[in-house]
Amino acid sequence: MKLKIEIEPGIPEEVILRAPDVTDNVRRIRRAIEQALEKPGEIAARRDGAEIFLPYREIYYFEVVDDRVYANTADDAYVCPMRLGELGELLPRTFTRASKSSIVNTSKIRSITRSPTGVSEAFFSGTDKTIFISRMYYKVVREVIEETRLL
Amino acid sequence: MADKKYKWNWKSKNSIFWGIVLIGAAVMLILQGVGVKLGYGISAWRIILGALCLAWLIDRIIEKHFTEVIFPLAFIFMIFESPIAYALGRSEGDLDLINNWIVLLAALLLTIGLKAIVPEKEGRRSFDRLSSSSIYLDGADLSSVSIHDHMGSVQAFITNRQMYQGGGIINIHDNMGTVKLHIPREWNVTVNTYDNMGRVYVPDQPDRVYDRTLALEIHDNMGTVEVIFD
Repeated sequence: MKLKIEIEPGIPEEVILRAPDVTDNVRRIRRAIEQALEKPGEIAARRDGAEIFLPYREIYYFEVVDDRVYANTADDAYVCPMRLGELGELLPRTFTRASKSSIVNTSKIRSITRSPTGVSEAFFSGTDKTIFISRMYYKVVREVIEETRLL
Repeated sequence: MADKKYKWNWKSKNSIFWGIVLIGAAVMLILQGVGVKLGYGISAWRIILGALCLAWLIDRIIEKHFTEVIFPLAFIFMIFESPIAYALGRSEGDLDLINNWIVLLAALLLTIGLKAIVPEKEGRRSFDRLSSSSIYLDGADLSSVSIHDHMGSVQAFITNRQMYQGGGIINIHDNMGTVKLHIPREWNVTVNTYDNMGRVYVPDQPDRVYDRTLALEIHDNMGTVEVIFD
């Protein structure tokens, strides 16, 4: 495999991996690049009056209720001092908006059921919690799932 | 995840009440069947549905939830609209007094308005929900909490769990909706159910010593309430 780096002032920084097929080599390189570009792995939250740092891999979803942001893990919920918009900037690609007031970790989704009204419900692995996906964000959630789970 | 065993809670303090209502409805059906005139348009389905709605109305009054009597009254009106119109002197071809959607919308607005005006009991935190949503309860303040769900889907979680000292009580009022309450498995839960044609699922808890107890008072009208131990 050839490695080619092009330096050109003014162009955006991006990595393009060109290959004739999705091979194990391509997957390995993709993971290595993703790890190198990976965002901080923990989110500050509060529980029982103490500040703790939650690995984002343990978080199933964030949602805003009564002007507070809650981070939900498999069996607990934590108050998060950051706003949803700020979280969106920090979290990795597997996290995406499920509605105006929630962000879901798509890597935790086990299944999605759609209702005739257009609102979908996402079920997770490892917990009985569920979250609703609004009609507006359903397509984006599906795209993220397909993109992050394809390779 | 392992299969969960749920205790289907049939025991209801309203069993005698419901027995009387259903027996009354059966008597009316028999009378109507043998030809006793009960009134214009009083058919079997009107008797049954009317009895159910009347029971719902009486239950709300007995429980002193006066802001929740509007919907059963609205349904009773819609069920008996034709007989009422006939009794008011309308002719047989003109028995629609008012569009049913307007009745339901007015009932909804009245219920919301009454709830906004009538104050809640002091010392109680109350959550009213009409659609799909989540509620986060603070473990430091579970002394007296109420959750009201009207035809919605509610998930309730408890945060600050270590702050909970025990002795708390959560009142759940569910009208034709779904409420899922997530509780730490380390807590002992005692449940009183006032179940009107609904379903209440409470998993069995292992027989051991618990350091904290939480009481649940579940008033369920044709809905589903599920307790999930995390």
